[in-house]
Amino acid sequence: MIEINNLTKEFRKPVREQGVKGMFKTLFSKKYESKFAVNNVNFTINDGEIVGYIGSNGAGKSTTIKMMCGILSPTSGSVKIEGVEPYNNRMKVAGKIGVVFGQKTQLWWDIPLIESFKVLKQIYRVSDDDYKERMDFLSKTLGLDEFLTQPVRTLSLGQRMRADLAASWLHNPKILFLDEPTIGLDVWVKEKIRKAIKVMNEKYNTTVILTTHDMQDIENLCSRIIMIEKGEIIYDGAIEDIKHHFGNIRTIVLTLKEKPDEKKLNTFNNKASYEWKDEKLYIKFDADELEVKNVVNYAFGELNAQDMQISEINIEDVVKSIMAGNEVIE
Amino acid sequence: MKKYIPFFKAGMMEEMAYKTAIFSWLLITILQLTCIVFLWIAVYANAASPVINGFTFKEMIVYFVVTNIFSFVCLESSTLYDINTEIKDGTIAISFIKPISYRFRFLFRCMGACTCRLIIMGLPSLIISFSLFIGLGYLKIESVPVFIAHVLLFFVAMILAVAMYDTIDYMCGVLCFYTTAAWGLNFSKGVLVGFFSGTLIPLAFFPGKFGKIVEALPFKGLSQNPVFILTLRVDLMTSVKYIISSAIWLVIFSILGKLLFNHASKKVTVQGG
Repeated sequence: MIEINNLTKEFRKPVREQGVKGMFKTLFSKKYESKFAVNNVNFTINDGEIVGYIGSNGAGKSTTIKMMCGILSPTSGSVKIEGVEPYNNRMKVAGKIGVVFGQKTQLWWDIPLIESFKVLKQIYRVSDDDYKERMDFLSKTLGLDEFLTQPVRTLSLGQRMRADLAASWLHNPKILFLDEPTIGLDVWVKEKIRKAIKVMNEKYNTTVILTTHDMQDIENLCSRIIMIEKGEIIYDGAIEDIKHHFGNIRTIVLTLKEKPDEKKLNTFNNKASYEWKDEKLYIKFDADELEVKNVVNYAFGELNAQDMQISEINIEDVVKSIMAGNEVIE
Repeated sequence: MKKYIPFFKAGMMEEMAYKTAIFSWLLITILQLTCIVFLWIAVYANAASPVINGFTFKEMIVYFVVTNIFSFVCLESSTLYDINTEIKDGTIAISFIKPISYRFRFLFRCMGACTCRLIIMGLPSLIISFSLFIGLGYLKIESVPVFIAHVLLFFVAMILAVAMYDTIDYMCGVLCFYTTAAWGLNFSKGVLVGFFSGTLIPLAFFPGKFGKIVEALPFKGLSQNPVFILTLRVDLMTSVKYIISSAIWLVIFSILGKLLFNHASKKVTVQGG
């Protein structure tokens, strides 16, 4: 279990003035500028959850993750992993967590991948039987076999990321922190990684905290999301709830022979809105207020539509509009 | 302790990769020692007495040859630069999430590197030079068992010296958490150690009060004491005293290093990502 109470991290940096004169001034001045990367954050994550931790660049995601795994110390507030503060008891917590930083590798650059795993086995004191079982599972789900004997520096980004995920999980941690694990990867590798995360969670009950900018990751894996913006939590709850935060919005796109007269269209008592765009008619409505069947019947019947697409609102749109600070969905 | 073995091995392997560095050291050292021999020939030829600050010419040569080999094998550590690199490129984040002590990881790596240098260069060159010293009458061994006892004590003193040197390097490295001026820190450390450990000149050459202060500092355990033990300049009793004093200083420095790290690690900022 992870408990986070009033967590705050303040970064202080000296104010620098421009130019040579400014440089000399900075040598003697002690002016600091402070920025709250994380500001009074509270949440609890239970065992076996997969939580998506999202926010725009610089919102404070990575800083929170780094405090959760004991790399940074908070300015105030606390993080407790199984009741222990990671930044005060690094060694104690390190065995219980696994971490992947999408932008950094924890593998040894110059030695073959398999040697890195052997070193990790020794560091985390994994027994021979466990090691064998987990390596079997990891090579199968992540397809490590093809590059296990290559030095890490020769691996492609996709291979390296799969290897990194395997390395972070080799000691079967209770909690797995994944900081942008799918950054820059192709669809196939993303798929493999997601599948592996899912199995780790289901079979071994690993708690996963995931930060990502890829909403597909979130939709495929997470049951709960926490959104952070400018260091503060702006949403914490189930993924379904946030979708419905805007109503159960559907959009129907129709291909028509010719542009209809907009004044004559049936608005179902103002429950549906119409827009003519790119030679297509867009109908938007809330499925809780208006039955989809009615709109479809109307489209094929009265409007004589040739083709039709129905789409639900997706999480990407929701996140985009929350981040933009307006609640209008387009 | 078992989990640090990979780092010990890595230290050995990395050192092995620098074969050319080791052989160029051999060449440079031979040149350097030749210069030193001629320098001291000149000094002794113009001296009023054949003994300068307790050293005869032969003793002086023995001292410098052994000191050079010793400092090559033991007084070398990449810890400071490694810590600085980790801070600069942000990989320190990775180090902090592993269940291993930041201190011991570097210590074992340094020990591995030293072991490698000792086997490849240290032991052969010590054996060759001791054979020469004895053959040329620069060094007299009166009792073989006593000499063997000296050799064993020397190895203990050597391990302590390596650990001490790496601890100093580590503390300088931790200072990089506050300022990333690794070059300056390394330079200061080099001057300090070179001057006060006796690698530059025997500490007996420092005059009066200054000499007394230098004698009281812990740095002579880094080089002069082990060299004195091996070259039979001190008796067994004094050798044991040297070792005990080095061990105490090592404990003190380790505690200081730990306190410094505890403070510094709260200040960590991870660069990038």
